[in-house]
Order: sequence, then C-alpha cells, then structure tokens
Amino acid sequence: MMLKRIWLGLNQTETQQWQALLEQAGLAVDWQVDYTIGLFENKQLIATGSVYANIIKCVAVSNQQQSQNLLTQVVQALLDDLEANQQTHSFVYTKPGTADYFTALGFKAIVTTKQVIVLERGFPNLNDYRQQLRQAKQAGQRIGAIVLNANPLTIGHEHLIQTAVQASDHLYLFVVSEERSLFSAQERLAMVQQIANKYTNVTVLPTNQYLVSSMTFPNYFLKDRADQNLARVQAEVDATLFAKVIAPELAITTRWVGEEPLSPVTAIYNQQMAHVFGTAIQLQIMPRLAIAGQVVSATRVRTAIKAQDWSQVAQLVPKEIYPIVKGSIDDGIKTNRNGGDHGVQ
Amino acid sequence: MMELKQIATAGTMESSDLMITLSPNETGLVIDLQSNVEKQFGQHIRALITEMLTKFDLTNVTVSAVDKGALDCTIKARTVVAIYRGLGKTDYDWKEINAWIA
Repeated sequence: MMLKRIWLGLNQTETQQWQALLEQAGLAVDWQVDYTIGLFENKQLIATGSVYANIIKCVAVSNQQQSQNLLTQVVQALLDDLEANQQTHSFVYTKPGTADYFTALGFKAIVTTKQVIVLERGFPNLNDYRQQLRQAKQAGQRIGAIVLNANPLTIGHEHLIQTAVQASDHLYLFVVSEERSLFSAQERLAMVQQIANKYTNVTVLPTNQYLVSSMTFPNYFLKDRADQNLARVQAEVDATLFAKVIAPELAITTRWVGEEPLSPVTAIYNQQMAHVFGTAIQLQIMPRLAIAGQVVSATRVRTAIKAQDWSQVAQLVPKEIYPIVKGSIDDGIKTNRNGGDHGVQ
Repeated sequence: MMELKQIATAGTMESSDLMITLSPNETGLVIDLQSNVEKQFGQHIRALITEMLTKFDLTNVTVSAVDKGALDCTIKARTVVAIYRGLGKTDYDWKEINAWIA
C-alpha cells in the first residue's frame, strides 16, 4: 500500500479514480480542495481524503477495502498536513452515517442536520467560543443579532443596525472572521466597532468559524457558481448552529437580515433560517436601503473602489468609515487581493 | 506554576499509539479522552497523563487524547513530548525522562 498526494487535474488517471471513488461512496465530487491524498494498492486508489483550509472533506474508502482501518491512515495524513501548516483546529464535514468513525478519531460533533454532520477537533474549539459569548452576554428581553461581513461597511449596514438597535434591548453584531475578503477581518471588525461605539447597547463579536464560514457554508463564498441544492444543505447547517448553539448562549430573540433580491443563495439562506428558527427566533428581513434607484451593497462599493470612483465610495459608506476604507486601499497591498462577492448583510 | 505557551500535539492515531493535544486554559486541568478501552483503562490513562503534567507543574491545561490501545510507556512518552512542545522547550532532560517512563 502506498500513501501519496493526488494532484487533481494534473494526473488524469488518478483524478478519474478519485472521482469514481467519491461517487461510489455517495459523496459529491467537490473540487474546492487544497490538498488531496490517496492510498493506492497495485495502482488502484482504495482510500482518499482532502483538506480545504482547515476542513477535512471528501473522505472515502473503497467498498472492497473496508474494515482495514484505512480511514485512520487517511485522516492521520491529513492531520499531519494541517499540523505542518500550523492548524491546531480542524473540522470534518460529512454524512451523519459516518460520524462514528470520526468520533473514534477524537472528533466531536458540533452540529447535525438530516444530510450533514460537522465535527471538530483541536483547539480553540466551540466550547472556547461559547465561553467567549457567555462573557459578552448582556441582560434584556428583546435581544437582536446581525451577522455581517462588512466588506466594507456601508450606509446600508448602518441603516440595518440602526433599525435593529431601536427594536432591541441589546444587539450583537457578529463580524465574519474568515479572511476571504477584500478587507481583513481586523479592518472589518474595526469598521463595525466604529458604528457600534455610537450606541450603549451594542456588542461586536467575531464569528470565528461558527457562522457563515467555509466550514458552515462553503457555498456562500462562491455565490456566482453555487449549486443551489448544496447551498440549501449548507444554509441549514449554518442556521442550525446559530439556532441551537449561539442564540441560546446569548438569549437571542431576533435575527436581523437584509433582503437580497438579486442573490439566489442569500434567498435560500433566508428561507432556511426561517425554517430552522421556527418560532424560537424571529427572523426580520429588512428591505435594502436604496440611493439613486439602486440598492446599497458592499459589492457596489467594491466595484466603485475598483473603478477608483472615490466620490461614489464616499456616498455609500458612513463618513467615519470612509477613512478606514480609503486608508486600507491606499496601503496598496489591496490591489491584488481577492474581492470575494459575499457581503453577508 | 508553569504555563503552556501554545497548543501542542504529539503522537498519531495508529493502532497502539496515543494522539494527545494540549491547550492552555485558565480554569484548571480538563482531560477529554477517547479510547476503545475507556471502560477498563480510562482512569489509568488519565492518571498517567496527569502524572506527567504534574512533573512539569502544569495545571491550567485542556487535554484532548485519542487512545488506540497505547501501552503505559507510549502514553507517558507522547504526553512528555506534547508538554515540551507546548512549553517551547527542546532541552530534553533524558536522564530524568527515562526515569519516569521506565
């Protein structure tokens, strides 16, 4: 038996074997992977697994070769690779039926839906995040939450925050922590904090990887190419984690979101949230703020930035945010950075 | 009292081995053990891990261990390596360590 890296796309024979093995295992062939390994016997692929950022996925063992504990070898090799990249925390995204194998390897389930189970191992983990939330908890009856990427923060975000604050005793703003945006997580947090500072009853929190991340919702970051069925499944995972773990920790009663008439993925996300939340959490979908007949969105701001249309940018972002946006872009390093179309709200 | 500097891992999940991860905390020792022989040896494995941590005067640690039927010497050795890595130490005191593990 030989364990080696599979270069997807480069080695055609091995790539075909990889696709066939995933299909046999009933898994979607997911090309969004950084690193794939395969276990070969007589040039036949008998087990495989992949890593994307710190997410282990596409793990499959050939039907004829099960009961040999090949999974351990595959997962071990993937964990070694993660460790070599200083990743001390990882996730597995898989079918609920296979959860037991991963539990035996030290993974802990954090969210389960009918189609998907997400497990994690390493530190810092969901317990640490929950503790962080508990420390930030504020009293009140009407507790609101908004999840936003703020890439960058717009007057639309500001409007949504304002509306939510007025209807809440306390409002939590969750800023997406993942670094897949034009502006860094630190910059985005700073922008949201600026706005939050205007109020006494607003707390800013990171999402770590537990909301709208490539773990809970990989398709959110690929809105243009997203498979809608896959998006439905992932949105349910994200909404379930919010409803079952995060909302109870902070006694959240209302989740505020902006309407997004143009994005089918966001529409699916809103549908799934309404479905999962049921009567436990109220979902408030607010119409988008529009100026000059066009809705305000972070995408529009990024387009203006690309076109260097700074008067347009100044119109679309709050005035205290403008210097942060301008300063960040002027740093120059941004020009090559990926713009990623995913303003959550 | 010593404090861990960073999250550290040692070992593998192969049969007869132990994979142990240590993470600094502020609340005291917590051991999360996953083992096929939890019923027979769970307490014993925890005691071995605790014994090694005590040698280094470490208490504010969250331990996550996956045991695949490791022998005592393996459990101790893997724990000691994880501790050294977590402390960022490389000056292994072999004589002392050998005395613990033997």
